[in-house]
Amino acid sequence: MSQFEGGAPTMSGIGKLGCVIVAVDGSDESMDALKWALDNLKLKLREDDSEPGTFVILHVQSLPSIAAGLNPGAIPFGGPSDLEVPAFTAAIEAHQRRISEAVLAHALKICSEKNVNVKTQVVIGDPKEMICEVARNLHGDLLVMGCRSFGPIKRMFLVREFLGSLL
Amino acid sequence: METTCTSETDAADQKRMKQQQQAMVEVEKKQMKVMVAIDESEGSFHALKWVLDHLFFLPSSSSAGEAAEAEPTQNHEQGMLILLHVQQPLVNYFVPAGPGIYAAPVMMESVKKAQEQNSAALLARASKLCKERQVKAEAMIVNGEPKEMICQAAEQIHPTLLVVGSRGLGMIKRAFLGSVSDYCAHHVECPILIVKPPK
Repeated sequence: MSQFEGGAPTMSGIGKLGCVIVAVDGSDESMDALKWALDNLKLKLREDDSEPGTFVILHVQSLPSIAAGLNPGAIPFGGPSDLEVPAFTAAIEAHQRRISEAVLAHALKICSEKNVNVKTQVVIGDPKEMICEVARNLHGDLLVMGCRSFGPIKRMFLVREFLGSLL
Repeated sequence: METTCTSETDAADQKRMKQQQQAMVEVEKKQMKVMVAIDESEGSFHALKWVLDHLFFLPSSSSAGEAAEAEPTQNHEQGMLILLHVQQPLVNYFVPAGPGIYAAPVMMESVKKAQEQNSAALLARASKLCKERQVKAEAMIVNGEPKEMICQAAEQIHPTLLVVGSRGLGMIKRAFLGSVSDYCAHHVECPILIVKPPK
C-alpha cells in the first residue's frame, strides 16, 4: 500500500496501549478473544523514549496435583508407591508442557497473520489468581479473555475463570 | 514512446484509485463503534477517559507529512463513541401522613425536569471530553433499570465494544449492593470492557 508507511495501515500500532495481556487456555472462545484483540486494539508505536506496545499471550497451566486428580497419600492400596510418584509427576508435567506448547503455537499462528509485537508467558497455578498476578506484575493496560457464557448454575458448579471472579 | 507513457500513467492512476477504494471499504468495515455507559459516578467518567486515551488516538504531528493524504481516512478510522445514559424511572412516593396525600403531579414534574437537566449536564460533560480528543460521539438516553437497559441497548446497536466503569466493590458489598458491571459482563453478547477505578 503506497499511502501509509506502517505496513498494514490501520492496525500497525498508532495507539496508546502499552501492554495487552490475552489469557488463552486452548478453548475456541479464548482464541476468538485473541483474534478480536488483534483486530481491534491498537498498540503503541515504537518511539524513541518508550517501549513499543506488546501483546502478551498468557497460558496458565493447572497444578500437576490437580491435573493428576489424586492425592497420592490418600489412596491406601491403590495409589502409586513412593518410588513411582516422582516419575508420575514428571510424566504429568511433560504432558502439561506439551499442551501449553500446542496452545501457544496455535495462538502464535493467529498472531503471525497480523503484524504485531507478541510475547508469550506460561505460568503454573490456579488460573484465576495467576492471571491477576501476572496482570499486576506486568502492569498491563488491558486484560483480554474469552467467555464461555455459562448460566448462573453451571457457573456455580464448574471451576472456571470468568470476569466476575477477577473483579 | 509517448503513447506507452500515457497508458502506463493511466494504468497507475486506475490502480491507485482502486487501492484507495479498497482502503475506504476496509476502513468502513473496521470502524469501531464503542458504547460507553455513563452515570453520575466518577467510575464511569474514568472509564470514558480511559477509552478515549487508550482506544482512540490523535493523529500524531510526526506523521503530518503522510497524514496530508491520509487524514480523511484516519478520521474515519477513529470510529465513534456512543454515550449511553440510563435514567432510572421515578417512583411515586406515597406519604402516609393522612388520607389522600400523595406526591402531587406538580412535584413529579419538577423532579422529572431535574432528572432531565442532570442527564443533559452529564452528557454535555461527556461530549466535551470526546470533542477535546476529536472523537465523534453520539448520545443516547434510555429509561429503566440500568443493568437491563444497558444490555438491551447493546443488543440493539451491536457495538464493537461495550464499556462500563466499576465501583471496585469487594465480594460481599457486591453481593448485597448488586453490580451493574457484573450483570452486564454475564448477560451482554458483545465484547465488554470493565474499567477498574484508579487506586
